[in-house]
Amino acid sequence: MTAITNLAYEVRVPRWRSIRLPADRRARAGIFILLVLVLLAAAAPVLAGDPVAQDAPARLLAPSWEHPFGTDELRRDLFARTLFGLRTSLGIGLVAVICGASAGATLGFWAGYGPGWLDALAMRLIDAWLAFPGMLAAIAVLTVVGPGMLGVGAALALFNVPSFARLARAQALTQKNKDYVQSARALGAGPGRVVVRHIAVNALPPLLTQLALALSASILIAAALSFLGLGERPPEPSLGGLINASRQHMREAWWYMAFPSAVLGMLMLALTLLADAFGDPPSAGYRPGRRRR
Amino acid sequence: MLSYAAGRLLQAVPVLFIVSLVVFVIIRLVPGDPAELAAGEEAPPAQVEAIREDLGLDRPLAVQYVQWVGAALQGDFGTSYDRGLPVRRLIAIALPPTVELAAIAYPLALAIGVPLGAVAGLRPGSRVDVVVSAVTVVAVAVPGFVLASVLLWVFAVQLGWLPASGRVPVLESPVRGLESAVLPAVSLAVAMAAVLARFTRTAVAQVCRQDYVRTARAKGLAERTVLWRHALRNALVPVITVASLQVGQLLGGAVIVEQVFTRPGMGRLMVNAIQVRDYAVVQGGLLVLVVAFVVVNLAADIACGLADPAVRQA
Repeated sequence: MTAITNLAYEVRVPRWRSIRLPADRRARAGIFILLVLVLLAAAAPVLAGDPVAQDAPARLLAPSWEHPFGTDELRRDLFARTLFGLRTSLGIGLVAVICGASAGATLGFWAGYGPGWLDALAMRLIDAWLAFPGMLAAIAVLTVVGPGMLGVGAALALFNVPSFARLARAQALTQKNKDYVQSARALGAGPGRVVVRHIAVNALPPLLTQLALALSASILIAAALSFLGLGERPPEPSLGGLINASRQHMREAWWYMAFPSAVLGMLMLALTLLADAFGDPPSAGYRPGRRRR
Repeated sequence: MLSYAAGRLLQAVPVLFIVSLVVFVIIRLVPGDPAELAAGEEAPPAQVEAIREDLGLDRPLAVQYVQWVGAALQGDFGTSYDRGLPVRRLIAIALPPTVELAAIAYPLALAIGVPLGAVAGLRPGSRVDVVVSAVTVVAVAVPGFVLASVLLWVFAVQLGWLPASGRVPVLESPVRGLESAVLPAVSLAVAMAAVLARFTRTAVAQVCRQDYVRTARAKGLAERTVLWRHALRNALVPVITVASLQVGQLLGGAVIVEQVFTRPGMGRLMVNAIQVRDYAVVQGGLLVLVVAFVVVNLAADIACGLADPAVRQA
């Protein structure tokens, strides 16, 4: 009996080792960039002034010590607007991914571990869900709730559900016949405990890769929607909205587009590098209509 | 192979059913009464009722759904209340430019991405691989709308080599048509090519480590045979899968690129429709695009079955 307990206990311990970042230069670069951006976003109210105040001495000022990223056509400080836009981007990405991933993983774990009919039902649902490409899914949701950041967040959360569900289900299917799960069940652990304490914990590493990918995809789509004028409403800043507005002033103010684009690009770069470091892109395996065994 | 293809076809049926249901329900979720909306403000209640009956809104939801799907299957998506035209006509006008854009951008992405990834994957760690990996990581990180805006500014505004907006049908006037399509197509293709190259690289590198590749080399097959028959053919399955998923990116990207280059198409049609809350147009457009995506994925699954017998057994 003790032997079985030990076995179950030993293998159940989360394998954090396997998700520790490798001594990979690209991974370190990704973490470093991401940290800098998160700190900048967090400290935005301290570092920069009011993003909507129209109090700069002139419109479309070139970058200076006073205004590191220059000013826009309404005499607003672009440094402040970019940092607050970054805040919005990160916030919306995180909320969308956390909501989508937890809902998706829950659905997927139960589909994989639960009874067959639940699995069949969930899989058909997920297949149909995945048939909506991200942008189009967002457009569908925005049709219902109207343009705005709330709708974008909800749309992206929904967009993230099926990919996590698929991944979690595949993990649950491979884990559920492993010895440690069997022994846990033999010891009388209920399905809830098995899913949470055993399956979920061991499925973390592949989910982490997907987390980084989903975050970059969500932030990108949110920025694209703001760029199209379907996201954050003016005067509130968003990276996509800033880049859209800057197009009118490319000739006289290169900095207007350059800085918000660079910040968004760095964010994408950092998340891509991180996803690479966590493992190979897992998304090759799931797609509409492919049944996994 | 036939039974595999038939099985995949059957699996697509529930997917299409749920997809159509979702698109149908979206419009039901929209706040406000469609009949009142159609009748206009201050219409007498009797008139609203008449319109409600006319639109079939007084019948049970299930009946409405069946009628809607039946009409949609015949190409009838209702009438745009903003433009007063049948949605079918609007889609018939908007679809060709988007298909044309996709037909240029997609082969371009494949032609750049797949060979680049294959070359890098065949020699992991080599100088070529390092360069390809670095370039693709950066290309993935550049948002499509930034690239489109920059290309527009450099090649259309500054250099004046290419038109900044509009569209000339390629089939009618190839030279001017391609001139108007090249910037949008390149903006779309770069990110897709980068993603394809990354996946192809991983797939090829993985296949090259397999025992059967080593066996093929060991038994003295020509390197060319090893590459084409053993390595690349087996790397094809994940690449086809990603390539078909990229069609979704293509549809989403077209929405943005059409906006930047003020090019007519499905994306502009739908973005404008959302802004004026022209629901029938969004509904019809969504249905057409999503069904197209499902069909492409189905075709890709069948192609995977052709490329790799093991897939058929799964």
